[in-house]
Amino acid sequence: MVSLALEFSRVVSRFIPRGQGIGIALAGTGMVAFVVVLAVFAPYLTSYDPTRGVGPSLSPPSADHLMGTNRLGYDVYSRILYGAQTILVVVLLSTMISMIAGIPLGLISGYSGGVVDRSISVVMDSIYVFPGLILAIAMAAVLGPGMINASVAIAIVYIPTYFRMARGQTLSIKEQTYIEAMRAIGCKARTIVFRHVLPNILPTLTVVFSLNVADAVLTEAGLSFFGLSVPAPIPDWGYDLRAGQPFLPSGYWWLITFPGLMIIMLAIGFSLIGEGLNELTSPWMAKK
Amino acid sequence: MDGQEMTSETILSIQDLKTYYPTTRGIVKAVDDVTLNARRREFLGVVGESGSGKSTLGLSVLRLVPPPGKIIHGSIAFDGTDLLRLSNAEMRRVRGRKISMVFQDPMTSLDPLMKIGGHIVETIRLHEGVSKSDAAARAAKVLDMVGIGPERFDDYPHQFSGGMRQRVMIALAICLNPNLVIADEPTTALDVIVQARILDLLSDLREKHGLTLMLITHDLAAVIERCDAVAVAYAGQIVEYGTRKQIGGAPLHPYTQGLLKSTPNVRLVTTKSSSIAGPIPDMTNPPAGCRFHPRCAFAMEICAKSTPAVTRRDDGRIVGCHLYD
Amino acid sequence: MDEIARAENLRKYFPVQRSAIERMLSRSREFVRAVDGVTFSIARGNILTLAGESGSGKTTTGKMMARLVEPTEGRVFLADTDLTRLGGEDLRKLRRRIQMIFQDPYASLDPRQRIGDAVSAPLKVHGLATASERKRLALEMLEKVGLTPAEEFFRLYPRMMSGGQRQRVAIARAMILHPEFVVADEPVSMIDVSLRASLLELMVKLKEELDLTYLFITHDLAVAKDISDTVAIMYLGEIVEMARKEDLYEKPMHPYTICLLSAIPVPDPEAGSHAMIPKGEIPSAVNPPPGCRFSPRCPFAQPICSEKHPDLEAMGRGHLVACFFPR
Repeated sequence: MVSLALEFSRVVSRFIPRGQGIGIALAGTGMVAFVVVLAVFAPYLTSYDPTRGVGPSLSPPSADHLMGTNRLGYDVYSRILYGAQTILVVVLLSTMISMIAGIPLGLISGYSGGVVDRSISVVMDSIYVFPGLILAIAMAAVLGPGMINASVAIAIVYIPTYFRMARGQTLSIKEQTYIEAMRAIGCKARTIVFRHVLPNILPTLTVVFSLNVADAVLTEAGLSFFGLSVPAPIPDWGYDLRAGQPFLPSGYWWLITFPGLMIIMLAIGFSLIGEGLNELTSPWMAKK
Repeated sequence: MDGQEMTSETILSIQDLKTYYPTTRGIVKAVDDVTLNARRREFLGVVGESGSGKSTLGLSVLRLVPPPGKIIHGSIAFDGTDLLRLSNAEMRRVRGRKISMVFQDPMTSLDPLMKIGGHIVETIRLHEGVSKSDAAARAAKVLDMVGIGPERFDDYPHQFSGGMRQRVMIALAICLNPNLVIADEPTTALDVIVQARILDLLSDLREKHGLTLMLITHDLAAVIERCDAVAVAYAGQIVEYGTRKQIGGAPLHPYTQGLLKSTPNVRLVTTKSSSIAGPIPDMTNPPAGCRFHPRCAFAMEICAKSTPAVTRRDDGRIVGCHLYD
Repeated sequence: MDEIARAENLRKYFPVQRSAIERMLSRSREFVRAVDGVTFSIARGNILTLAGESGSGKTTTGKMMARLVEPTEGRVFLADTDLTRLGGEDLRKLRRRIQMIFQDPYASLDPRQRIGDAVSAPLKVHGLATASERKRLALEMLEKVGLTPAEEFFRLYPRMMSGGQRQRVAIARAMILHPEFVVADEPVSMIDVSLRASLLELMVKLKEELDLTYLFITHDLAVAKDISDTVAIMYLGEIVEMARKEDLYEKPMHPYTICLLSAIPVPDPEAGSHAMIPKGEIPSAVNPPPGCRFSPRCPFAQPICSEKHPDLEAMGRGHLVACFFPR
């Protein structure tokens, strides 16, 4: 269901006429910003503790509990708000780890070539080949529950993505005359790579980053769906989604609807930012 | 505005042409009020540097100006018909059949997956409903005309050198027996000896088949050596027009004079070439009045204020400069 | 002779790419003999032009002289130092003495680097000056190359400048360390004709001011005429003729040089074109023709030309020709 959401946003962006990149990017930013606001202001937006039973079990949305309560009497609305914190922290932390690990390796691999390149690439390719969620599950199972562990598990899935992007870009930039000119001046390889190649990678990086975070959101949701992310009772949308599933046939729709919607919104939000940025940076690069 | 005479000898008559490109930085007035005629069987050279609009001029004749560029004014009369008034379908029939173009870069202009013989055959059959064998025979003949033997009929573009690929492009351009061939910098990417051969080939074909040839280039020396008539383009306008003897021997417009002095002559070892001071004008905001005036050693007060009229002189030359008002 | 740069029997062979299957099936490797035995020397303050068509090996030779490419065989000297096998730190330090100017002004500058930073980069890389010193020297250099007001150009990005201006920046960057030897690879071929002379004049002016020596690479003998002291013509990886400028242009001896010069159009309506065109195409550098490499196309070829290889012979006044029947 949720991967359909990603596809949806991609399809939508096909129909956006040229020059509307900024529009899509803004729409996406709006969605993401909304979630961020929820996360940041969670304590002010609700007085309930999301990790304790605060109301009757399984009560529908009402004035007291805007999104109802679950089987254990937890307020769904509060769990949504604090869940935003969880997912944002895990996703952003894991993305940062992926970038810090993947990008320098990609730069070095692409610039050095030869044996170094081949050996690192082989390792990266074998990680890349794994379906993301399966790999994350495997890592999480090994590492155990916890916010840091979950972040690391997800990070490992995406290191090859950043590696490949950085390496590919490096390979093409490496051939540019200005890089050769830097060598002719006597620039050290390290300086060339980090001072001249890296800045020229940044436009592509921002696009890959946004699209990647969207993917990471879904992976986190998937992990927590299987209870492998943060441990209960810390609010986590994916976990709540799974917990609420058995109750759907009995008509308790609010248990899965709200977490599901939030996951979709966050994923689409990042995705739209990525597609919008893609639209914006491509004509710029072509004009150069 | 006085322009060139139109006679029955004239095969192409461009009048008051304006082709502009809207860009994010403003409107680039690539071709800004150009009047130019070409006579039948004539070898016309259009010379200009970057920003002169010469390539856009060639593309305009074939209505191949890439969007968002547009021809916004003027007429292009070919053999009596105004090309700008034709429908798209009618224009498609003109391209290739009546007027064809040879482009600059032979490396990327040929489909790498198509054998060159087949490419020509397809072109012929697309425009004329002849049988495959007839088309193949014609293709072989036209390849022979450009100096490519029949044994290479089934070769792919990557198996040819740059010069040979350009010959294939020329073969494609003449296979439908057009009356006018426009060659846009056909030799820029090629070595000097190959350049000479390609230009020789174009000249030969013109003589043997009565073609009118319009050569667009930045190489003033090549044009003076070979062309019958020369038009000098600067910043979207034609600033001077005359025979090669007139342009090469006694140029009138200061830009032409400067360009001539900048073009080295290998036979004169001790003569040094010079430069024209100042930058190439920004085509979104060209200088007021005469576009060359900021760089002109003979500029007068009037030059910054009003655009000089392009006038025709007694000896048939045309020049747009206040010195000759 | 106070010799600054010398090439001794330089060769560069590039292995021909082969598929895995080809590699398994046959042991013998084929090589593109881009440069096949080039020797010359340049005296201090002189400009040697290496001229030739594409595939002649002139750019590869230039890059070997600038030590951006390592020779397969042969040696490169800068004054008395043998540069050929230098590596690592020594090679990096060497860069202060040899610099290179590239052909494409649109590609040789980092699009994300301001001009001021680009020009002072060599100083920074070699740790040669403080930040304020670097700025001062960069401004000075920008003035020298005619980019004034220097303060304004200092802050610009390459995309805000024309091709001619960018090439001046490239020159400024190459000169700021006051090198001894500069290799210029087709520095004006992508510049408009009416602007070339002033760029070449700038290069000559800097040569006098900074006591430089140039290796100038071009495919356009017309451009080379104004700036060279000595000209060497290359064909298929070899030098076929080398002479003082006046001698080469007025009395060329090698048939290839004669063909090359005759093919260059002349802006003189009275001149008439009498181009002597060699037949055929330039052969591949993988299997060059036996004997004289130009013999299959030479209008004056004799049987011996395809049997024995002519070496460069002195014809007086420093004029060298590799031909059995020089004209």
